[in-house]
Amino acid sequence: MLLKIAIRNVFRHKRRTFFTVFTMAVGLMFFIFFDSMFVGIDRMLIEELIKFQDSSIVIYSKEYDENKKAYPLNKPIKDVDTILKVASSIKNVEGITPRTQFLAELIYLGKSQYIIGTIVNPQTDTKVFDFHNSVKEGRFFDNNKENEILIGSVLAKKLGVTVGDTITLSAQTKYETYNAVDFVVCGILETVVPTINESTVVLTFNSAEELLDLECTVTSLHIKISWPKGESIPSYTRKVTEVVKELQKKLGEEYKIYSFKELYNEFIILMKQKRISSSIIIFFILLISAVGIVNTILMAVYERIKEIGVLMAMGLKPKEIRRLFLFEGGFIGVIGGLFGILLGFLVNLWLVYLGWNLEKMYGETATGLKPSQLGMPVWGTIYGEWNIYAFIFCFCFGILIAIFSSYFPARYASKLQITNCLRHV
Amino acid sequence: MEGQLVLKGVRKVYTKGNIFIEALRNINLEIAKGEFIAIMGPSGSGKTTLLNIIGCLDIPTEGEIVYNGEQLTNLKEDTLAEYRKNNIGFIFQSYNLLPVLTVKENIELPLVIDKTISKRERETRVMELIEKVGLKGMENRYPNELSSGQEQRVAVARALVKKPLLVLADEPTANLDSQTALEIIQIMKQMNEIENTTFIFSTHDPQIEKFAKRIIILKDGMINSDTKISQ
Ligand SMILES: Nc1ncnc2c1ncn2[C@@H]1O[C@H](COP(=O)(O)OP(=O)(O)O)[C@@H](O)[C@H]1O
Ligand SMILES: [Mg+2]
Repeated sequence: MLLKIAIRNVFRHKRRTFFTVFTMAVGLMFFIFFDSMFVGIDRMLIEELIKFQDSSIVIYSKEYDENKKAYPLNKPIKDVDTILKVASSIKNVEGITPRTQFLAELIYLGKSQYIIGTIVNPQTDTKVFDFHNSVKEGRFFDNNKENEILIGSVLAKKLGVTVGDTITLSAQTKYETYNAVDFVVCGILETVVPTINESTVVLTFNSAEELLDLECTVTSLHIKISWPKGESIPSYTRKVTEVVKELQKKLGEEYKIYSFKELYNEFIILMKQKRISSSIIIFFILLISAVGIVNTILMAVYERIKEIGVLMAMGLKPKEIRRLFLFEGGFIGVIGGLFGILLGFLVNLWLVYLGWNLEKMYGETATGLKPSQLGMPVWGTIYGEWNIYAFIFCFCFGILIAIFSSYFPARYASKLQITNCLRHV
Repeated sequence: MEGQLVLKGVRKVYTKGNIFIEALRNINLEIAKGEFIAIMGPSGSGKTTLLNIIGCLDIPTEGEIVYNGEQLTNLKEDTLAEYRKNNIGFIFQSYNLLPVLTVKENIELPLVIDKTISKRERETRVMELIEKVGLKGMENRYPNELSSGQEQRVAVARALVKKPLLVLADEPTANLDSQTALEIIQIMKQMNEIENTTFIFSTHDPQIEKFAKRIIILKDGMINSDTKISQ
């Protein structure tokens, strides 16, 4: 009966209850939305790193790994073919491509700059990396042409290089002799990774042969593990870690294998710190709904002071009076929680399947610059993610907040003096 | 004596900042089971305060209340709530029905709070009382669909549903027209005679006064006169 009274009282003031439930639901909706969006941004950042840096998994020879910073050409991966075979038989492997990096000096019209050269296999590289979609001017490699080179956008601008220009690279060959070769710039690369734009040139294994006496030297293999829309970061991390373990077992100690998590660890830590500030936003949103509930329950207490007196005269104990109002708050919490989940579900449906196109929003039209160029941490379209825990948390939290917020008004009600309640008009 | 209520030297002082109001001074009363008592007196003479103290809604500043030989004076809040629940029914001047409950549910409420009474028993008692107070057919109405006389009938039924030993009514007919007031007092009297329930009510109304078997007149918080009326 107490429950019945509480529930009916909730519906006694439909408009007030509606507003409270609405504030709460909107608060919880934002919670789900922000949670999903922040996770989406994180995912997007990781995805970009995977697309442009080292992919999901990278394999080096052990000796190379120990001297990575020097980009040595004489510590290659020996049995590339075996690894390719092993890796392509593993589940979730979407692509695998060899790369070799070297240090060189770029010379153009008397200006020079030290750069990192990345040698790629254009056929397989496109299955793992996204360089072919990041050529701002010009084009990606043409199979029929030799000595073509892609150059980072910032680097190109600094040296005044444009598509079609001829540049010279000077580097140490595999046998540590010096050599210099001319290349034709076929395209300007613009990615979201600043180091690529600032100090990288990309060329094919064929073109690099003459410069470095390469003889098919491969210093790293990059493996892309498929990441379907909606799969969470932890789940993907687990999946990749599994593959790393399997590879390590099959290939032995001779190779050093990194997952993206180890590769971008610093970055991921930074990301987690950022999440703290986003939690603060969420906290404030929830605080607002809490204030709404406190207000509603307090009003309920004030307008029902006489009823409280009657119930106490009938022998209801203070703690039962308190329970009555806690029920009422809890009930509002349940409805608010349910509506919150529903709204959250709807916005997330949109965020997960259609995505939020930030570039369109902040558009190139207004400033002529993409958000990424403005130093914003996001670009392109953010996709949300389904996080069942966010929904469960949301619902429980909604009820808890409701009960917690009604606790003080309820306690106030239970401490009222009966005679004062009855005299109340 | 069984069901006897005794007030000894009861004094009640209200404090409002620096002002002390002596609402009751040295009240001595003995009330036997089955009495039908009217408490009269001008406004501010302490009628409500006296009823509140008898009903354990408030505690006296001095003096003691003994019921059935048992001290009620220094009991804890929860124990007093328990005592009220089991022994006392209240009727208020402004009915004070719960607006979210129907007639039937309002009457049933004290039985539900009690928790020891079965649903069937509750049903029979409630229907019986609805019949007695003349509200048959209105069981499922809400208070805002009733006239004030009907509301007070519900309140009377609610006060009686637990078969309490004592019913306290603070000006139960003050908000009613004289015809309805008469009907209400008649219902109360009837219950008093059938169930031997003790009734104590305060009133200004000479018409109601006539039904009382004992009239206590208060003046400035003191008993001015206490008369038993032989009928
Ligand atoms: N809660 C209270 N605080 C202060 N004064 C009170 C309170 N209740 C009653 N009084 C005072 O006590 C006196 C008796 O009041 P009351 O018992 O209500 O009289 P009655 O019911 O006969 O009109 C009055 O002077 C009233 O102002
Ligand atoms: Mg009064």
